[in-house]
Amino acid sequence: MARLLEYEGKELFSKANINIPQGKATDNLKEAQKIAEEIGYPVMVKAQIYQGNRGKIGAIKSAKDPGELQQVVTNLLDSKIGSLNVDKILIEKKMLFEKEFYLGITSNPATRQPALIFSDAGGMDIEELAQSQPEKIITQSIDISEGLYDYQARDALRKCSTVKNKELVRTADIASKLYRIYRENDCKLVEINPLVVDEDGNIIAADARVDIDDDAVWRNPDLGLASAEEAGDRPATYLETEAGRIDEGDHRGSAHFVQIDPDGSYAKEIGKISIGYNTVGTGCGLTLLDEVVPLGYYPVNFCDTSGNPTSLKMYAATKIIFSQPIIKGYIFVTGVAAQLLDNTARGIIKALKELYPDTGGKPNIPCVFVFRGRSDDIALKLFEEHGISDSPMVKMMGRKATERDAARAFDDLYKQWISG
Amino acid sequence: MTKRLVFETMGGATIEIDLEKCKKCDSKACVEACNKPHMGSILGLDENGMPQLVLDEAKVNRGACTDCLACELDCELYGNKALKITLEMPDLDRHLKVLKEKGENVVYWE
Repeated sequence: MARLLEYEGKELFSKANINIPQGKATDNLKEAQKIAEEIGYPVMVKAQIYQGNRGKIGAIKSAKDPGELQQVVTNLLDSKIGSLNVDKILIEKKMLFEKEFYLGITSNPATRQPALIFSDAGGMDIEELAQSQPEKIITQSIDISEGLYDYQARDALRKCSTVKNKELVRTADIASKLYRIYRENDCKLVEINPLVVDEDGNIIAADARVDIDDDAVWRNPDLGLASAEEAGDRPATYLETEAGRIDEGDHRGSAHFVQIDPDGSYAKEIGKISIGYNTVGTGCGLTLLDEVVPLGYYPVNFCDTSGNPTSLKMYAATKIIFSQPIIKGYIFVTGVAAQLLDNTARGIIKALKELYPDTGGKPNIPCVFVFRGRSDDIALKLFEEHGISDSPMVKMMGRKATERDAARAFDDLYKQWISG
Repeated sequence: MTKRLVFETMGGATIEIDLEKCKKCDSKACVEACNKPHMGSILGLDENGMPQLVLDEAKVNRGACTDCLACELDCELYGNKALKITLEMPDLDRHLKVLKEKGENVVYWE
């Protein structure tokens, strides 16, 4: 997931001359105390995690004096909120404000254009608001060949009767700046919720959400994000960021890897056996899921290596999949692929040989390999030549096998392994 | 000093050939593998019958090497184990380090 934390988003805002509250991020109590002294009490302590509605789940607290700050920071830092570790907190000056707005720029797939979204009911979940009070939301498409001029933003905001005069002009100015951030950083979403109006009429971004297009992370190295597949609200794991590197700078085929259940807890909860998973083609992957899950297995990752990836990409993907700590087996199935499956096989073979040097690449968990398509015969022969096919833990299958056959073969192999 | 042929590929791998070992290799399986259909054909033999790049390194690095790994696998099976392909995977290393610190296992350590 290519997303900035709140404090990182606010750094972008600040560079674009959007007002943000006084404050700074830290990962320790001592610095937190120093920051609070500098900006003055009361302060807000905000956990820097990829999670919405932080106020409701105890990730944002206030502290009116040093004693309270110590207690709040000690409780929050290094704690776990849901499944997310709190490694960093943002200490900010607590603000008094009179109004809260919602302001965002997002990509609208329906119009294939960016859209400006504004509401005078800020601070609320915008999706909830869209359901309950759609009339409160103003949306305006933006022509990317023109951009968003101040006057266009003002025209849009005039549709909201509660925003007038200086507030309207200043908010429109922020909308234009937000649009520039969106374009310059290849964003999917830039959102300020709430955008607050303080007692003096200043308009301040009290929060920041900045999501970057996953496929454009490489174009924005200054943001310091790792390329990784979308993985929901949690940060990418090391395995995912490693997988994100596979396609960087190499357009030849692709490897998409995501950990569905990184610690295997969900598989355990539903009483399934965790397995590693790689398919050539997502459709094949989904069909195979329909076959393996009813038999009692749960892929803790999803991986699609298709479009004729190099052997080196297959090698990297295989090492990553086998490095998940909780897998009890591995299934690799190709759809009827036009890609060179001998190259696919070479990557897997090199990975297995490195992972299992003592056995010459013979794995110690049940593994099913199904090759169907171009050069599948060579792929199967390579596994034979390298002495992996005759492993008791390995079942090789060719183009006549279906996904059901693959799942059943894996089930048989697993049962043999367990019975010992 | 050991003579080595070292070059980088588009996929980020480093290919290193120990030419001293190649002297004792009759097959030069790496060169044969590299010149099969669909392969990169970047390796050839020099006047002494030793593996060499037949394209300049910039072209090899821009994708002339297809990162097919056939040279290494065939050298291992039919040659003199003189060729090694390495790919740095720093975040995988970090992941494994964290697991070790936590006392957790991956299947290939067991």
